[in-house]
Amino acid sequence: MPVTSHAADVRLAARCRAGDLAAFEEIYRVHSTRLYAVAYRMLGHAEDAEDLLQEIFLLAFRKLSSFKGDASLGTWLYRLGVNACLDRLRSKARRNDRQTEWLDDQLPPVGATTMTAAGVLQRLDLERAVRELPAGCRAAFLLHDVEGFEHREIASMLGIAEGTSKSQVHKARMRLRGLLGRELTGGTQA
Amino acid sequence: MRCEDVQHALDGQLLGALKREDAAALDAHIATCRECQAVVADARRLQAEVRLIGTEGPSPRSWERIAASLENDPEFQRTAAADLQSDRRVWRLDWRWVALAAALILVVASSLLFLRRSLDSSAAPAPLAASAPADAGSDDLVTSIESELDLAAKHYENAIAGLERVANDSESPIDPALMATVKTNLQIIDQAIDDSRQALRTDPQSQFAQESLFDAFRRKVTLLQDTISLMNEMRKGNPARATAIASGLNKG
Repeated sequence: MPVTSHAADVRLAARCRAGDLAAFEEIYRVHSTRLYAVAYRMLGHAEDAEDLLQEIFLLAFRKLSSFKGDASLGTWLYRLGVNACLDRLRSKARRNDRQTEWLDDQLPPVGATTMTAAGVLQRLDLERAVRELPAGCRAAFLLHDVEGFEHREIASMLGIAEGTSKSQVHKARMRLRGLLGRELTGGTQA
Repeated sequence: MRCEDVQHALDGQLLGALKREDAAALDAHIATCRECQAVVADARRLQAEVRLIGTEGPSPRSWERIAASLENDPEFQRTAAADLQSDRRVWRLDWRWVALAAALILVVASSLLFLRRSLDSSAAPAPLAASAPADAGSDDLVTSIESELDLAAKHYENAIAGLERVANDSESPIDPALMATVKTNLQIIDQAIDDSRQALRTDPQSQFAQESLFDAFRRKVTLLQDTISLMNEMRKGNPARATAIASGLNKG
């Protein structure tokens, strides 16, 4: 991640607040890849991720007055992006009336339908498998294992108990392990 | 470490927050437990593979769409328009400087033109010169050049006085040390102008004195233009550019 000074971040944010499109482009060049990757993993589709990226930048413009420079602009944007992803997941779940599938509650393993050759992890299969996880379960797994948030933070972000976050992450791992061509043993018993 | 402790340790390890002694305990356990070894290895591999998803970044057209959506956003339009208004206010002030600079350049250029014309005509053989007494012609010529020089100097001083008035009225905080450097440089250039004028009085056809005078004028114009630019950049809140200009001013 590019290193920017605090003063440079504050100046850039001020320019963005003043409606300077060139300043936004500067931010885009530095941070868009990371934001897009988060959105892509969370939403599972390139088009959705690009739509959300657009939304994140509009949101950033509206919320930049709350950026005080306590964290770096990159961290602030990243948090904004993650929250936007979660909002999108929630609203999508509401629209599809799939609230019951927000969290993984003993759904059949995805490995049975998505696995290709045994032992071979195909990128497309993995993407599909992640996408097919229930939204809340996917979010918890991605936030923890990929984005590096602690269960305590995830619980707060998703509005669930810390224990639920742990169990969802565990379930996601177990289901995705199917893609690795291994038996789903649970792995916690000696 | 027992198998039931592995998930907790694995969570810490995937976050990069596992203490050294806990990491050693985890390693010791998975060295003896094939099931846990597989769980840990798969989780690590999953983390690495999933982290690659989406890292290709958005499509090349993505920024265009974002820029368009920002530009079409009513709030963004309002903010950008307000900023533009503010810029225009600044530029209204700046135009005083630009106008002054233009006037200054015009006055100096006109003066130089007068001078060069006078000096050129002094260098060229005048048809009536032969019938006129040499000393009288030379005296007339010197007087004529002197009056042109005086006229140029008068215009020049007027323009500089105007510039100084605007500078004094300006809210731009110019570093006193820098201002002193500018004044010192101006004095040096003025001295060069005086010396060149003196040399031209002695020898109106001296190419060296002419060039020295023109060079001094050019340097004075450049110095004044840079001073104006510096004030403008400071007013616009562009310290990087102002510093670059100031660095040039310091060099004289």
